Amino acid sequence: MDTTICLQLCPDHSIERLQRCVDTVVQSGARSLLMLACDADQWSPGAVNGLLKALPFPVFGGIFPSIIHEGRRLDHGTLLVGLTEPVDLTMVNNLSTGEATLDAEVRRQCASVAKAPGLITLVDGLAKNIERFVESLYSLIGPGPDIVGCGAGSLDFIQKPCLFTNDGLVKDAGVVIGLPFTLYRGVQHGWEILDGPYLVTGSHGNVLETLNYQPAFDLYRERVEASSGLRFEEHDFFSIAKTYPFGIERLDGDLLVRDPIRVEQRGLVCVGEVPENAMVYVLEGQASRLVESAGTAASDARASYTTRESTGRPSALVFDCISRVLFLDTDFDRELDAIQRGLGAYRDAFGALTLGEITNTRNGPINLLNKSTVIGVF
Amino acid sequence: MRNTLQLISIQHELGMAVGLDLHLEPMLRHFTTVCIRRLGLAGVHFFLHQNEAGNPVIGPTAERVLLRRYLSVPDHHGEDLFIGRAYERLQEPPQGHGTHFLVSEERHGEFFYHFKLGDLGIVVFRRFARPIDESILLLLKPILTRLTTSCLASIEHEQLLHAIAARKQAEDTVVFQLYHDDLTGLPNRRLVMQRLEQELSRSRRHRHVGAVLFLDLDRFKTVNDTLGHSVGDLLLTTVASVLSGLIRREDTVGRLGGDEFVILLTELGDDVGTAARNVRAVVEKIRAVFSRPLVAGSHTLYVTPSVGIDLFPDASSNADDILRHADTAMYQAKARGRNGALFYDQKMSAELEDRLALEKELQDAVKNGEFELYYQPQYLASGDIIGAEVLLRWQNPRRGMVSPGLFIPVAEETGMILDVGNWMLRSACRQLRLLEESRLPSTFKKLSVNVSGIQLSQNNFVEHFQGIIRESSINPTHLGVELTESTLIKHTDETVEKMRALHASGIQFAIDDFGTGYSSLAYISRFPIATLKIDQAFVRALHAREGNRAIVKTILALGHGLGLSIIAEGVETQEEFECLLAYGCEQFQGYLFGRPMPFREFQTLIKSGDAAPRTKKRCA
Repeated sequence: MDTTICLQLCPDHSIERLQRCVDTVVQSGARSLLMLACDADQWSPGAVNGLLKALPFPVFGGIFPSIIHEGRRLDHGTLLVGLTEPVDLTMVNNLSTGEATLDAEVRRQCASVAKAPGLITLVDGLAKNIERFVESLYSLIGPGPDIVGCGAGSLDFIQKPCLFTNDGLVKDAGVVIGLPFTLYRGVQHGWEILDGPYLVTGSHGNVLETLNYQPAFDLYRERVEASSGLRFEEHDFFSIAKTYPFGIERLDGDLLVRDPIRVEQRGLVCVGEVPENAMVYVLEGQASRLVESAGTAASDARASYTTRESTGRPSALVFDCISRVLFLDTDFDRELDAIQRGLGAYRDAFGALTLGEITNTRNGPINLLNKSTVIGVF
Repeated sequence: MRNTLQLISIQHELGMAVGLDLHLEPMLRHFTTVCIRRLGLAGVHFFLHQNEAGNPVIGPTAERVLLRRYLSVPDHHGEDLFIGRAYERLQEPPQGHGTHFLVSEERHGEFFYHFKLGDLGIVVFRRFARPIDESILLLLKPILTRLTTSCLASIEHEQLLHAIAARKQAEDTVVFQLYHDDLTGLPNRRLVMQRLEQELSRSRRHRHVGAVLFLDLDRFKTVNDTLGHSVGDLLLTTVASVLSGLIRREDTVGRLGGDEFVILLTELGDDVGTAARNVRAVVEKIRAVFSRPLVAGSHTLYVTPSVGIDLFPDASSNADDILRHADTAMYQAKARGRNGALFYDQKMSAELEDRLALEKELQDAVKNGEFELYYQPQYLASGDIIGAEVLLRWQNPRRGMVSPGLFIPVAEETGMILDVGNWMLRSACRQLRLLEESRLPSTFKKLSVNVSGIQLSQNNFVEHFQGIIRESSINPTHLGVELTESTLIKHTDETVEKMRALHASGIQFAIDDFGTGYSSLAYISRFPIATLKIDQAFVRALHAREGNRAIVKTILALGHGLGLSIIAEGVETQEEFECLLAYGCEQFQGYLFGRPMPFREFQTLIKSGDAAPRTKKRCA
């Protein structure tokens, strides 16, 4: 079964042109719409809310640092993907301020998607409590359906409206989309162990305070400077750290990547939580290994699809971490080629470069990932 | 090193996750979240021994206890967790080290681990893809033992909290019941009086004017009597809700009992004039809501309140006085025709005292034989007498002759109408017998006795009536019963049956005051009615009032069409008589023909066979 009916690229920041693209999607017979926009186009609620609220079917999507269209990265433009079936769109607001009621709110708002065969979730990537949100979502839906998702937002790390919904362009929210068809996922990161393991002896949320009872930054600096030959005093922190994320070891040997983005009182602020008493490694990246892993994620998703589905020309939705672009730089095009090769003769991949990725682990639970490639074929 | 650190890491992370929270469900939920994350589980499911209310229990108990799901993360999606079989195996005697603690099993590539939580129940870990390493399973034993201890402490703590909460709730209930009405939940007399006393002090201190509104539902007793007390209770609950919706937060609506409600309005203004205007606005709101039907269960009922109002403070009144004044004003409002509202003034107290005295004297009147029957003759146009309406007169030693318009409503409201009506019927039958024993004129048809709705609604009315007829040995066809329109409208199928039973005995029914009520063809055809009496209000100045003439013509046409006899009452002038005659009326009663007279006089009139005056003038 074909699940997408129409792809339209609005190449610039023109609401009239965007409206024409939307009209084309509506006229194509689409019954729901995925919108992926580039941050550089600077869409605001005032500009797009009228258009979003007037749509005759569900709309979801987000604003990202870059998007992927026809297997290529774009830093400008808005991609409209018309789906052949209506989706069930649910939303939880106030992620950052509603921690105490988040679980109940997820149950209340997202109950209708609990039995959907496939799911997509998009969150405000700069909101707090994203991990609470995905844990609550797992508690509701269980290990049955595959889910892919990501964090939307801007690389300037200023929280602003970044999620497209029928209520308009919103922020600080989590959107969960129940698909009427199955989705098959592939996920890889390609980062490898450089050093460790270390015991997290002090942490608070996403702030890694101490490792092996030493200030986290002290230990991290010692290992990374020794490996890279670079000194933090002489460079921007993230320009070095983007190559050396942490990996939290899971019982099945998987590593959950956590990106350190800045130093705070000799602790390290990461994207995503690092629990106290967890066992972590310092990881390092090799461009070729990362590119290869992205291709593996694509071929894994494709293999899952072809094992269970015999007909149709599926679509491939790619959520690739923006920090991989920062790390790979010009090699990132090779990563996109690898993804396209992994998908084989399927349609060209579309998607976004994201602030955090979301998908199930092989054991079921849903995780917020960093520096990873998540692909959903449907 | 790596494995050792991994074990230490798991031991610390899960150990810390047990936590010190003494609330069972959040503690287990947190532990579960960490287990899923740290051990790569697909799910964690707790099954605890619980009572029927779903509360975990520990130790021996008299309650029925079941091993039931307590917490599942993720939510239970119907998968088989093999609980029964695992639980049995965990109860078996140990055959080797550790078999009491853990039972594991693989099913279709999934791994299930059932851990015993002491006497509390079991917890199930579910994992996909790969089993949990043996060293980690061993590590879990002390952690889960500690979790069990924490669970015990939490359950004991929660049981204690439940006991404290139950006791507190019981105390709150007692206090609430002490100050509130059971049926409606409104403040009761005690609380109303407390608040009134507080408000009285405050109003004196701050020179504000407040008011007490005393509300009593008109004819509420009829609702209870005809539809039952359960409907009456539902109506009271609705009224309580309606009244509560009318007032401000700082005001109070209370129920004193029965159908008596009180509204305490505070800070209505700095002077009596302003306060009175504000009270009137509230009264208008009350009237507006009661102008619509109220729902009581499956019934939709129209009820009205009579409202008495007293403003406070005045120089000397205390809270009891204020409530009593409002009650007195309500009583006067009701006496003046219901659905009214009156402000209290001092004269009302005197009127109330007079009314209470009248009630007392009325009771004595039956015992002392102060009543007497009068007879107002009824004639044909030819002047031949056809009977009389039997009227009640009360000769009170102190008051002299008391008007029926004064004492009949009191007799009806107090229920004394039953004794009075009984006396009246017996006396009328006895005197009818005397008339029958002498020779009745050939034109004589009947004596008509008035019967009230209250008498008619008595269960044994028919038997009682027939018993009196038998005892007095009268010819029942010489006796008629007059009922008002409103009595017939208010009564039910049961009334029809009663009337039919008496009609079968020979009694004829007349509708009194016809034209003043609903004048519905539907009920005329439904009841066994022989006669319509045109009310004197339509007869009055008939020759000069076009409206009255139209009504009278209609009544006559209607009555003749249905084969009913029609009598006009209150005929006082020659002109009225001539008009009625011209329109086809054939029977007459009124001062023009004869005033009400004592029995002996009437007896003489019957014997003499004197005719009434007649004329042939035409009506305009």
